[in-house]
Amino acid sequence: MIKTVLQVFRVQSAMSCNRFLFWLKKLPLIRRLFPDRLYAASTAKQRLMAVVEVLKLLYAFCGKFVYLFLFCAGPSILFFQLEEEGALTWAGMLHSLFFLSFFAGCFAASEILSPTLIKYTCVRQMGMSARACVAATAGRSQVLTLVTFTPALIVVAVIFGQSWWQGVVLSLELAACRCLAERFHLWLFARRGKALGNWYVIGVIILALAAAYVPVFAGFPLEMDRFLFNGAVAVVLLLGGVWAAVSLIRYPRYREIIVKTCRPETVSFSAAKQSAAKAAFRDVEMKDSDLAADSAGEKLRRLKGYEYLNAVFFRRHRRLLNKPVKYVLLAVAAAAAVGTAACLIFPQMARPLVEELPAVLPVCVFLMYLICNTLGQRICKAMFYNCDISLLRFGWYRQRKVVLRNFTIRLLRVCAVNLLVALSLCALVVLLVIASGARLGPLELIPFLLCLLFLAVFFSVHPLFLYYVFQPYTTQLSVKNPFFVALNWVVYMVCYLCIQIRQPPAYFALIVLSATVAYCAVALVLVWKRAPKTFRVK
Amino acid sequence: MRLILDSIEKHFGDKQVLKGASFTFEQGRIYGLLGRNGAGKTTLMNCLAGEYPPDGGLFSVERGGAAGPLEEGDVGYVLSTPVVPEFLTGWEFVKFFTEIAGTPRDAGRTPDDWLDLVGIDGEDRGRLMKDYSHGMKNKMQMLCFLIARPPIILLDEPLTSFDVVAAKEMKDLLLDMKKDHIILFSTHILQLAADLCDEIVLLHHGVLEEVDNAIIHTTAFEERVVALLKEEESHD
Repeated sequence: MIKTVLQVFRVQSAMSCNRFLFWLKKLPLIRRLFPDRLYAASTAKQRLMAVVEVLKLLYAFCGKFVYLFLFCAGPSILFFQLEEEGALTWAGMLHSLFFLSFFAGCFAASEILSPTLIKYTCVRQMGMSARACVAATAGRSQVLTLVTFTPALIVVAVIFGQSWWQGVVLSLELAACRCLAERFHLWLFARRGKALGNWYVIGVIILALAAAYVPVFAGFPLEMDRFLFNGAVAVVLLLGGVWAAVSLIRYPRYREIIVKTCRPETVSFSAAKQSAAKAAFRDVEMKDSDLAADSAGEKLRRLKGYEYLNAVFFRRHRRLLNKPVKYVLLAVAAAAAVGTAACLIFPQMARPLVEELPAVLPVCVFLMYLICNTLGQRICKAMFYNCDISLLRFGWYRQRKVVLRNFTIRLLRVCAVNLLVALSLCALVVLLVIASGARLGPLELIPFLLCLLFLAVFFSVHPLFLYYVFQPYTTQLSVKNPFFVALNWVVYMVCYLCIQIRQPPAYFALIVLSATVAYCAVALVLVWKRAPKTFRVK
Repeated sequence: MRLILDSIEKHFGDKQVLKGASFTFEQGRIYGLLGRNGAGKTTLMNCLAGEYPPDGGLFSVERGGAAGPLEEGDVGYVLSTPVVPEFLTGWEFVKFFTEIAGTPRDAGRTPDDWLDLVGIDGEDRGRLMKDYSHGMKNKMQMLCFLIARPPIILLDEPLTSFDVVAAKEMKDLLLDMKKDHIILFSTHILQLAADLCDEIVLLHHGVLEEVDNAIIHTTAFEERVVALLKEEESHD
């Protein structure tokens, strides 16, 4: 047992060391000092492992001081003046400590039931003893908590004018409470067959925070010293802790617990990342019903080459692509119904409001960004996930003229979708003008409507252009291009700032038209020049 | 036609995988690329296919005595894990591919003719490729270079997922078409390499080395290749 525990320590230490090296290698200026061969340099690595362990211990010690002063004593000191109301401050500190450490710290989550990479590696992959692994991980953590909390609690007790032994008692009681809580979690796990979910953890934490701080800030902390330093309570707690510790050591079902709780997607960072990335693409995942093979139809067979490919793609993705459009159209229809009714029922109020519509044209930039850009991004994600991720592995698909051909075909398709949305908004505006009898001249109304159409084109070009020039998605489906993120953010900010622009609709439409034409031209040139190099699977 | 690799280098972080690999491949021959796991066979193929550029060196193609750069359209690449657009049926993919990459000499062939060639039968042709087996997807990839006839064909561990009948058909197909192409394939199956290849090239220590042609079809072939690869181990 002891030998296995030591082996787990060594594996744990090597993993921490490798992780530390990995992060050092990410630092821009010093990464060259840490070449890959360091992973295999056993002597240097053992020294580094020792450094990492010392750093972890120091972090644990400092962490306890910071925690006690910041989260337990801090609020109490803020509320009660230390010198004037010393007793109350100590009571407030004990009150917060009880609810945060004795309650939330012990009962929110279980160390033994938490899925960790070390447990997965040692027990599931290396076949080591589950009991030894739990002793080396959860047991070690318990001992470390006791060792690091004791001096911190002694110092806090002395600072608050109490005796040092009160710090020791608090630390021992806390350790006992942690053992009891672990045993409680194991009992619950045995009954339910699974660990408590995230909602339970969140609930306990919220409850603990409220219980820890509300009475303190209300000026009525509970008199926890009478409870925690009561001889009978201390003896019961310590005896209970000893019983729980023995019971934990003898517990026979650790292997079953580790097999149930430690799964690849819960313990591995990369697996978790992959799982999160997959979830991000779930909204563009095709269902079997979308893939009814005969749905392409005879009509499509007359098309050729890339027109055919894209036509089949868009046809097979009708559900994915049409769903958000349907929602927008329904929202526009609802707005039309409500707006028309309002115009007919309250004409005196509605008419001046509708006449003010051209003034809110800049807001439409932001609105169109939200609708059309989101639609465009969704289409690009679907293109990558269901089509380009495979076809980009073929050299012919990355040829310059093919890239541009596909880009233009797709741009027209995305424009068609977004123009449909813009036309529905135009219809809504015209309907409101007619229903309200608003006096809007053609010089105000037509530029307004044109502006919506230009914006639909602009926000069709934008996501597709970014997708082709930066192709941000990796085979693991994560977004890996800082320029893509930055440019998206810049366009978002520009759209947001447009709200501040005050220009007549005709001028504003001219600005939008110029921006759209310029963006289209730049996009086509850059797709021609850059995309053959950048539009690849990373 | 000749494909010339001149001092190709590629590294990932500190690890240099290709350390000046040079070789000249000639039309009408099938080359077997052998090497131990992690030797860089797939890296070399990825560089040739333009998946990522080499860090140093040059690929060139010599046609009729004039050398020019290797273009992306020159290379047909069958990956060890086949990738096909899964939202299309096999028939649709072949229709699309013949339209964009078919050669005039095969103009009369229909998608059904092509699918007959690789033994994908009627019912499977109308199924979406997402439901195809690994072997069927591999056949679809092979079909791509049968249709496009790129001058250089790279096959990363092909035939391993085929059943014996399909593997035999594919071997015959490769032998049939080799006269117009340079075919380079990587494999760990020495028997397959001996059966199919005109030349064996070893990739070890990041460089390419030809195995004496005379021993390929002899019993000494296996021992010689293993000895060479073990030599690599002792160097390390």
